[in-house]
Amino acid sequence: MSEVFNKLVSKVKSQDFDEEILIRVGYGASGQAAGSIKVYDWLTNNFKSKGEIRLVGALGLSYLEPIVDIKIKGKPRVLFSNVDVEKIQKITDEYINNQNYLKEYAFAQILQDGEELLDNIPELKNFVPFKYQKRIATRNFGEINPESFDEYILTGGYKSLDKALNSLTPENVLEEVKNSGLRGRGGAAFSTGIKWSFLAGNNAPIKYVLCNCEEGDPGAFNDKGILENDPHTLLEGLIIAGYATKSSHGHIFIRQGHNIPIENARKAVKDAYDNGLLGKNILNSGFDFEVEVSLTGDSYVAGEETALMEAIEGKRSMPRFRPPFPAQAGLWGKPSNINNVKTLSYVPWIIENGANEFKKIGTEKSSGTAIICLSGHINNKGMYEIPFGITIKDLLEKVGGGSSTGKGIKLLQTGGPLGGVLGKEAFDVVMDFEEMAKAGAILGSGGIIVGDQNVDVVDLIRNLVAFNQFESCGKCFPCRLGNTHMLDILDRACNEKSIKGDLDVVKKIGENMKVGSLCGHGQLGYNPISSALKFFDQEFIDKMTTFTIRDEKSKIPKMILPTRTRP
Amino acid sequence: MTTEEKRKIETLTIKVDGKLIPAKPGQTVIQAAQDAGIYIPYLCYHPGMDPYGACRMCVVETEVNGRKMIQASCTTPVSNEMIVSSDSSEIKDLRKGIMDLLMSEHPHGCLTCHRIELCGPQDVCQRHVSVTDRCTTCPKNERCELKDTIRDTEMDLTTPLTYNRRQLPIHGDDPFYDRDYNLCIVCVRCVRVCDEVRFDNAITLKSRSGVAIVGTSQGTSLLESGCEFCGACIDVCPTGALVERNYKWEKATKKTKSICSNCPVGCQLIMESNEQEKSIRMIGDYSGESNAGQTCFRGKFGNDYVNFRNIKYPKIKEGDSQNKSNWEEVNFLISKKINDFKPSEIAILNSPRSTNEDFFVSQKFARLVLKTNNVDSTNKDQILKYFSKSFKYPGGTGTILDLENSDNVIIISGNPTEQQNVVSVFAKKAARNGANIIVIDPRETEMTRYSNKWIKNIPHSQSNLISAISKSIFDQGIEDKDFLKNHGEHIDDFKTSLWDFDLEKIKSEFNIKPDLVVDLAKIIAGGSTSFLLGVDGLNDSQSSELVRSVINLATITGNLFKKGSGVFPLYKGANLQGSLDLGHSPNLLPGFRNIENKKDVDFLNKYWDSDLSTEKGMDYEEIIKAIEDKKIKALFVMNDAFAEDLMKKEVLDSISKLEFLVVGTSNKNSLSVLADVVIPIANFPEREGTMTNLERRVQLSPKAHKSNTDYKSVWEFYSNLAQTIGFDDFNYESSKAVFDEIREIVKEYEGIDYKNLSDSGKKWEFSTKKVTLLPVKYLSKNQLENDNKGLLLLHGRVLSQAQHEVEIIKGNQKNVISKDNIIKMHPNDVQNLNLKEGDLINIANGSSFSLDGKLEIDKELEGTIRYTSLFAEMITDFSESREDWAPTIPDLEFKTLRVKKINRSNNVKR
Ligand SMILES: Cc1cc2nc3c(=O)[nH]c(=O)nc-3n(C[C@H](O)[C@H](O)[C@H](O)COP(=O)(O)O)c2cc1C
Ligand code: SF4
Ligand code: SF4
Ligand code: SF4
Ligand code: FES
Repeated sequence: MSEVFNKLVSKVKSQDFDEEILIRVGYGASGQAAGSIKVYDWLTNNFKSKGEIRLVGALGLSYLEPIVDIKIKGKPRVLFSNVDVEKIQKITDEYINNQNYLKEYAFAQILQDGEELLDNIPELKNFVPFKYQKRIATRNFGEINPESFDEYILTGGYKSLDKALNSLTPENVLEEVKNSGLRGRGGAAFSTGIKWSFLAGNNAPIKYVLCNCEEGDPGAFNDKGILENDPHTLLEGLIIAGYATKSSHGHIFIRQGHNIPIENARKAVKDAYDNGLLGKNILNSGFDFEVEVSLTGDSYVAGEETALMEAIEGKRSMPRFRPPFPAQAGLWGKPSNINNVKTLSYVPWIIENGANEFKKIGTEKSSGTAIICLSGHINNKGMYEIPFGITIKDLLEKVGGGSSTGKGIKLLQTGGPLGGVLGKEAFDVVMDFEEMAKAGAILGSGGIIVGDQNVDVVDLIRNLVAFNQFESCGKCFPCRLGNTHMLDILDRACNEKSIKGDLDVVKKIGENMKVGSLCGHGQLGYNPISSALKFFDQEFIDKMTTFTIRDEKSKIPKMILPTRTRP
Repeated sequence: MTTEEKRKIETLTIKVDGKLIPAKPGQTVIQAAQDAGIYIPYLCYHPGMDPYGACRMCVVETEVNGRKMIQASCTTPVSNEMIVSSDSSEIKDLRKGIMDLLMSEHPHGCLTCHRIELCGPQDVCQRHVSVTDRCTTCPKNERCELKDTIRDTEMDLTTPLTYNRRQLPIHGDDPFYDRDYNLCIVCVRCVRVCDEVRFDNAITLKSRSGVAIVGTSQGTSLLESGCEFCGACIDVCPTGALVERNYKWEKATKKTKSICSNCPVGCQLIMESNEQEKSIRMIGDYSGESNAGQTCFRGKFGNDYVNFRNIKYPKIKEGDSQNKSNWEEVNFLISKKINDFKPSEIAILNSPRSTNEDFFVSQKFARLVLKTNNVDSTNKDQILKYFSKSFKYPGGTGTILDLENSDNVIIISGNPTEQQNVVSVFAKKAARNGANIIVIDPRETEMTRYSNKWIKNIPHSQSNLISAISKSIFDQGIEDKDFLKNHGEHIDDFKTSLWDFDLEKIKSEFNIKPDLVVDLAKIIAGGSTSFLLGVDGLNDSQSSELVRSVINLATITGNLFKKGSGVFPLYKGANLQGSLDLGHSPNLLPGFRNIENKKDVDFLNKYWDSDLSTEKGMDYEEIIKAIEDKKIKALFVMNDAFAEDLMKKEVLDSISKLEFLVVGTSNKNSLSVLADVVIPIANFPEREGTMTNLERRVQLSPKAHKSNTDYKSVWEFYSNLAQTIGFDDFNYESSKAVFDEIREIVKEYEGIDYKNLSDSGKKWEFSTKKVTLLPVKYLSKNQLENDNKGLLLLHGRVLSQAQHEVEIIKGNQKNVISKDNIIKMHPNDVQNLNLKEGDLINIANGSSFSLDGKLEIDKELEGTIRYTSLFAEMITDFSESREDWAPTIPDLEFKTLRVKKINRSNNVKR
C-alpha cells in the first residue's frame, strides 16, 4: 500500500465508530419502490436515540424489499423482509427491546467471527436464492451506504487503484485484464482487454474512456443497480481503465431520468476528487485523470457507442458510421474506448485478486459471473450475480424459484428488446455467451423476463418490435422503415387482419435490416422475431396464415403503442 | 523517394465489378467508382457534403484480405486491392428491399408502373393512381433523383408493403419556396447542407422512428427559423419535397452554365430554361470554383427579371412619345447627333453588371469615337481604386474557397453575408474549422454572431485601430521579416508614419484599449489571416486611409499571396473589377494604364492607330454633378435601371433636360422613359460574355436563350455604331474577338484562353507581387467629429433574434413581419433628450427613414443609436419587389437621425 493511500485509509478508519445498535435500511430503487422510505422515516423519528440508522444499497433480492438489517453488538446481523411501518414497530419492540428476533419476519442472518448462530434462520450465504451467487461486482450491495466514500474505503475500496497506479505499469494492468478473459457486458461480449489495447496503442495526448449507463433495456436494471448500490466500484474500475489505456479523461454517461444513479455518480466523482483519487497526480503516481458525469435525453439508441458520443457532444444521438472506429476517432474526434458499467465494475476485483482467480469462475470462454435481472412470471424477482455455466433450468427453478403464476414457464426473453426469446427446448443450455447465442437469444446485458404458459408469443414479440420501432433513431432507412413495417404486420396478426404473405415479408424485411442497417439497433432488430420463429413458429403460422376468428374473450387486448408511429 | 514512386503510393488500385480502377487514399468507394465512371446508386450521399450513411442504397460487398463484408460505399474508405462488387444479385436484392421500404412512404403508383416513361399529365391513368400521388404532377418530375435510383434498382412492379401517405400540410407561406414533406424520403441532405455548409441550422431532423421528418424545429415558417433563403437545401433535395415556387411545374428543356451578376462573387449557376426560352431555375454549380455550389437568395431567386423584358425594339422619341424604330435609324440618328457636342459634353455610363467585352468596347467607343474620357460604371464604390495605390493593381488578393484555410478572418466595415454572400459561407467554414473570426464594425451583422471578437469601434476610427495594430507588431518585433524583404517597398516611410499612433492617445480618444491592440497584433501575426474589407459608411479620405492601413498590416504580417490569407475587397457592383481592368474608368486606360502616363497613352495610340485625348475625364459622381450643372449635354446609359443615384428625383429632373439621352435596357424604367433613343439590350441569358469577380477570376457566361428579336449586347451596339460612323477598327464578329483584343492589350489577361473559360474560369495574376507600404495618417477625434453631426444610426441585421417575439402576419400574397423594435442609446445621449428606458420613441431621417421602437439604454458607443432588424423583414420586402428588374437589397447605411418621444406607434407593423 502506498504511503498516500495508507494515510487516506487511516484517516477514514479513525472516524469509524462502534455502535451498540446498527440498523441498515435497504434504499436501492427496489427498496424505495417497495416503501423503505416510510420505514426509514419511522426509524429516524422513533429510534434515532437508541442506535445508528444507515441507508444502504439493495441486496438484489427485490422480491423481499423493503429489507431491514439489524445488528446488535455481539449478535449476528438479522435481515427482515417485506418490512413496513407496522412490522418495524413490532420488530423494534420485540427484537431490540426483548431480544426476540421474530423469525416469521426474519429471513436470513449474517454471522461474523465469534458470533453465535441464531436458530431457525438460515445464514444469508445459504439462503436460496442468494446462495447461488458469487458476488464480485455486487460484493458491496446491501453492505454499505452507496453515498459514503468512507464506507467504501473501509470495505477495501480503492485498494486496487492504489495497487495499479503504484505497483503496476499500465501494460501490466492491461495484461491482467486481458488474461482474466473479461468480456464486455454491454451486449456484444467483446474481449475487454483487447478493446483496451486498441486505445492503449494510440499515442494521442487526449484520449477518452467512456462508461455507458444508458441502460434502456426493459427488464435490465443491473447497471443502474451498480450505480445505485455501489458507485465507487465502477469509478475505481473506470480510473483503472484510464490508467491501463493511458487516457486523460473519463465520462460516466447516464440516461436522464435514472435519478439515483445520476446523484450517486456525481457524489462519488466529487468525493474522489476531494480525496485526491481524481485530478492531477492521483495517489502521487504521476497519473492525471479527469472524470465527468454526462447525461442524455430519452433515447434507447443513445446507448449505442457512437450515438453516445454524439450525445455527449451535444448533438442528436444518432450512430455514426464506422470506420473510423472509436479507438481512432471517437468523442470529439479523439481516440476513445467505451465500456459498460458492469464490465468496468469487475476490474477492481480482478486487479486485487488476479486474472487467474477470475478465470476460474464461469465457463471456458465466458469467465466470471453474469449479473442477472429476473423479472416477469417468476417468484424470486431480483438481481443475482451468478457464475457462468449454470443451466437455464437451474437459473429459473433454483435461483428464480419457478413460475410465480403456477402455470409453468413457457419462455424467457433475454438480451433486451434486441435479444430474443428462448423456449423450453433451450432450458438445458448453460448460461454462457456462446451457448445462448447458439440457442437463438443473446445474453446481452443480463435482463431476463420470464413468461408463463399463458403468454402469447406473437403479442410479446409485437411488444418488443414496438419498442424497437419507437426507439429507432430514424437515421437509416432499413431500421426506420423496416421496424415500422414489421410492427404493422405483427399488429395485423394480433388483430386477425393478416394478409397473405405477411410472414414472408417480415422475414425478408428482417434479413435486409440485419445486413443493411447502420448500427446494431437495426442489425439486431429482427432477432426477437427470428428467435421466436425458432421455438414458436406454429404460433406465428397460426396467427398469420389461418384466419380463424377467435371468440371475443380470447382476443388480445389492443396494445398501447407509442402515441405516434408515423407522421 | 522520387515523385514517380510517391505518385504510385498516392494512388491505390481497387477492383469494382471486375474492373481495375485507380483510387486516392482517403477516398470512399463510391467516390472512386464515380471518378471511374461507375454508377453506384445513392440517395443520402451528396458530393458537396460529408458522407452520412443513412439510406443504405449504396451498399456493396467489399473484400479485403479475403474478408468479405457488406458495407455502404459512401462511408467506406478504399484500401489497396480492395475488391468491390456492386451488382451481385445479393446486393441488388438488398437494394430492392430497401427501396420497397422507401416506396411505402413515397407516392409510387407511377414509379412502379411500366408506363412511367410514356405517361403525361393529361393522360387517363389506367392504374388508378390518385392525382396527388402521380409523378407527372410532382414538381420535380424528370429531375428527380429517386426515380433514377429506382430505374437502377429494377424494382418490381408491385411492392408487398402497404403505402402510407403522410398527409402532411404543404408549407407554402414562406417566400420563394414550397415544402411538401409528403414527398420527403428523410435523406437529411437539406438539414446537413444547412448545417454543414451554410452553418445556419434553420432546419433540423425532428422526432425519430417512423415519424422522423425534417423541418424547422418548432414547425414555424422559415422566416422565423433563421433561414437565409440561400436555396442550398432545394438544390440538394433529391425529391419534390423542396422546390422553388416560381415556375414550379415548368420542365427544363435546356441547362446552361451561367454566372450570377448580382454581386462580385460571380456564383457559377446552372440555369434551367423552358421551351419558351424563359429562365426558370438557378441551381448552384457544385463544380464552380468561385462558389463550390453555393449561392444566395439573390442568385437563386433574384434573376427572374430576365423573363420580364418589355423593351423589344429600338425606339426614338418624337415629340412626347417614343416610337418604334430600327437599328439603322437609331445608328444614323446617333451618329449625326453626336456631332452637336464637344467631347467634354458627352459621357458614357455602364452598369457594373456589364461584361468585360461591354466595358472594353464602350470605353474604346468613348475614347476613339467620342474622344472623351467621361466614361465610368454606375457605381460610386471607390475601394478598388484605393487598392491600386498599394498593389499597383485595383484588385484584392486571395481566393474565396481558400478562406476556409484561414486561421483568422477579420471582417472590417462590410456585411458579406448579405452583399457578397458566398464569401461569408467560406468565412463561416473557417469558423467551424476553429478560426478566429474578428468583426470590426459597430453594426450587428450576421458575422458578429460567429465572431469570437466583435470590436464595436465608432465607425470612422477603424483605420486608427488597424494602424495601431501595425505599430504594435513592429513594437513586439513579430513582423514577417522575410516577406517584407521580398514584397514590401518603402517600409521606412510607413514605419515613421506609425509614430503618430500612440496607444495611450488612441485609448483616451477612442476608448480602444491597448491590451486589445496588442492582442490583435499577436493573433494576426500568429496565423494565416484573411481580411474581408469594406468601406461602408466611410467618406473618401477615411476609406482610402482604411484600405491602405489594412494592406500595410497584411503585408507586414506576411498575409498576402499565400494559403489562407489575403485582402478581399467587399464592393458591390458585380463586374467592377472588369470595368477597371478594361479601362472603363475616366483616367484608367485598359491594362491598368494611366491617362497621365505618356508611355501608356503612346502604347494604345500605336495599337489602335489613334490619338487619345489626355484631358482628364469625369467619374460617375462628377458626371451626375455635371449633368445638373448642364456641362454634360449628351449621355449614354447602358444596362442599368437601379443606379440609385441616377434615379433620384432631382437627378432625373436634370437628366430630362439633357439635349440627348440614349438608354439601353431590357426593361422600361424611370430613366428610359426620358430617353431620346431607347435600345433593347440583351440580358445575360441572351448574350455571351465574360466577367471578372472579386478574386479576379474571369468567368464566361454563355448565351442561353435564342430570340427572334434583335437585342444587342452593349459591345455590339457600340461596335455597330462606330462602324456606321466609319471606324473600321470596331469590327468584332463575336465576344471572343473582343476578348482576343483585350488579351493583346491587357497583359494580365494574355494567358486566359477564352475557349477554356467555360469550366471554372481563370484568375488573372498580379505580374508584380510588390506592395507599396504607403504612409498612414492618424485621424483625430476632432476631425471626425467635424465630419459627423447628430446621432449616428448603427443599423444592423441578423438572421435570427431568439430574444424577440416575432409574429408573421400572413397576407394573401405577402407576409408582414411584426416584432418589437428595440432601439439602444447611450445614457448621456438620452439625458440630453429627456428620455428614459422603455419610452416609445421614433427615430427618423428626413423622409427617407422612420422607425418606432422601445428605448433601451446601455453604456456603449456614445453618440450612436443602435437598432438591429431581422433578415426576415428584408427578405419579405425583397420577395415582393418589382419583378421586372433584379431587386437590390437595402444597404445597412449609417445615417444621422433625430429622435423624438411618441405616445403611440404608427408603424408597429413595419
Ligand atoms: C441500440 C443499442 C443500444 C445499446 N445500449 C447499450 C446500453 O444501454 N448500455 C451498454 O452498456 N451498452 C449498450 N449498447 C452496446 C454499446 O454500443 C457498446 O457495445 C457497449 O457499451 C460496449 O461496452 P462493453 O464492451 O463493456 O460491453 C447498445 C448498443 C446498441 C446497438
Ligand atoms: S439502425 Fe436504427 S438506430 Fe441504428 S442508425 Fe439506423 S435508424 Fe438509427
Ligand atoms: S435556404 Fe434556408 S433552410 Fe435552406 S439551406 Fe439555406 S438557410 Fe438552410
Ligand atoms: S426535404 Fe428533401 S433533402 Fe430534405 S430530407 Fe427530405 S428528401 Fe431529403
Ligand atoms: S448513399 Fe451511402 S448510405 Fe446513403
